[in-house]
Amino acid sequence: MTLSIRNGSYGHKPGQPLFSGLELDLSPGQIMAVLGPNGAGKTTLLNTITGMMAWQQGETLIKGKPLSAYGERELWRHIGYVPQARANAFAYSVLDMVLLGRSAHLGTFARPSAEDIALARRVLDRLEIGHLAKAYCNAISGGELQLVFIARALAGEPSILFLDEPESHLDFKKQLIILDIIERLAREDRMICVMNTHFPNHALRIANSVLMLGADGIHRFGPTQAILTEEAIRACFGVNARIDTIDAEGRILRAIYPVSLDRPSPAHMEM
Amino acid sequence: MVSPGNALSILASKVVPIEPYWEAVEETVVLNIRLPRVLMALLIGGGLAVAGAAFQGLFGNPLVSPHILGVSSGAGFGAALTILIFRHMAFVPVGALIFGIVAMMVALWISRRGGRSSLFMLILGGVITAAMFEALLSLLKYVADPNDTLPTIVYWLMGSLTSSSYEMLAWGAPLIAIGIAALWALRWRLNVLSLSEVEARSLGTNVQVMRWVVIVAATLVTATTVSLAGIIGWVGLVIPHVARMLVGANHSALIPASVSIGAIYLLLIDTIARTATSAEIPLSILTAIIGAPFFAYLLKRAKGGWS
Repeated sequence: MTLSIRNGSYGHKPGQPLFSGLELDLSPGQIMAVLGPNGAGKTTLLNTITGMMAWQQGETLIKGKPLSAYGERELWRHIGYVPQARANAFAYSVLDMVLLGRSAHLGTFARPSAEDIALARRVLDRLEIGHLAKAYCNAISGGELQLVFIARALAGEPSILFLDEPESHLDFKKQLIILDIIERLAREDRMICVMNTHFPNHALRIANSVLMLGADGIHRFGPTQAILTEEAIRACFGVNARIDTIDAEGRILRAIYPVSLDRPSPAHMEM
Repeated sequence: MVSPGNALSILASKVVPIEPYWEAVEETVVLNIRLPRVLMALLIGGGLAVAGAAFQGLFGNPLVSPHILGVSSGAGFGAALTILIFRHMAFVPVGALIFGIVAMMVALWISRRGGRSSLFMLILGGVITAAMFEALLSLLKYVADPNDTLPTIVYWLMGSLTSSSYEMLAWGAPLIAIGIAALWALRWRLNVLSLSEVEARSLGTNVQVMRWVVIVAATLVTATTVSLAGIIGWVGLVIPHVARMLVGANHSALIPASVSIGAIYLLLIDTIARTATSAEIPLSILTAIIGAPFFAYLLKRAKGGWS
């Protein structure tokens, strides 16, 4: 399974593309982090890559074939999508919610079989939330709900997983749990993971490649270490930052420290 | 008055041979007046409740019902219009169905902003649509012939099962059954449709087609009940909540539960309407007197968790 974008362009207003001429190729086991300030088009990018919104130019290729070559149902058997955790109006049980992830595999009038239920339970156990199976989705914590949504996507047995800011509203520990799961899915299941995030440090921690979307419609794509530089952070976010490395528990960790806002010089201000 | 024993014997005599020991008039009352009415109450109650459950699921919104979305008012207007034009009840279901769907579309159109309908806007859209069609309905009443069509319209609109007959069941039951069967078959999919549009699509569901199927099926059921017994409010709003309390939110269980609870509920209501006073109380009055306070209780209990 491969995921490619050829000459992808999209903008809400004519002449003001959020991104244009996007070219990338991802192969199994790779994690791509999408970074950029609010309004740079991260969620729009996920929607255009997955075909929920049409590219204005260019196309998405899965296994070298354009999305249009796949039926809707067939496509979503390859792709899993994890939305930002948001409570639903109805109090579905966690197991029922995860079973909805089987929907692309089931006929229109079908309901989940015992095998589907066994699969959903295995996914829950793997994410270590098996004990929540009977809990109601509106009575669990935000972090648990995010895990449920990941479980729902995994129940569809995708080879490509899209995650929209999966760790945004979570506490310090839950963020790490989510990042570890994404790493495991890429390493053990050879899944392609595409993840929107507000945290450059998370990209440094787990991503093989980074796509940075600037507010000016200019994007940067490449291997994480090459793209996520102090210079790029300043250009993209307007923040002066330092990147440093620590050695802990046998793992080399790189982290970005925001130092100051990149303000115009005082001389400039006086003019 | 027919004793319960006689009534049961009369019903049983149609299946097993029992020597009639009752009067012929009793048999006529039980078989030709009471039985069709009981069947009609079960059919309409189940239909309204399942239509409500389907609309609530479809819009991911536990506060909507055929009534709130304006479908009932639209269907009522359509039915009255056909009575006025054709002076006959035969085309009533067609008019009710067409204007039921028109009302649904108008409510959706009003509520849509940039391709999305918020819960708040959807309810407002329904309120506006319902107000519009109720005004148009009043206009029809105003111009209707007071000796002929006006009593027909007014009497029928108040919601009553008095005129229940096998002829009405013969055309009404299949229409309602088709709608219920479609919603029953799609009951697990309704869970997917109740999520946000992006989520539903990402689960490999053709949201556009499914929505239309559910809207047409639920509107068919609602419009047929309106054609049969006038506008009966609150059943479609309240019964799905009662069912949800009993069997949970999963539509696989909720749809069957709504059908059966709705059917029994309307049968109880109709029995009260028939027997509480010497004159019959219109059904819509009773369903509102019971439904409104109960719904207020549910709202308070939910502590705004629905908004």
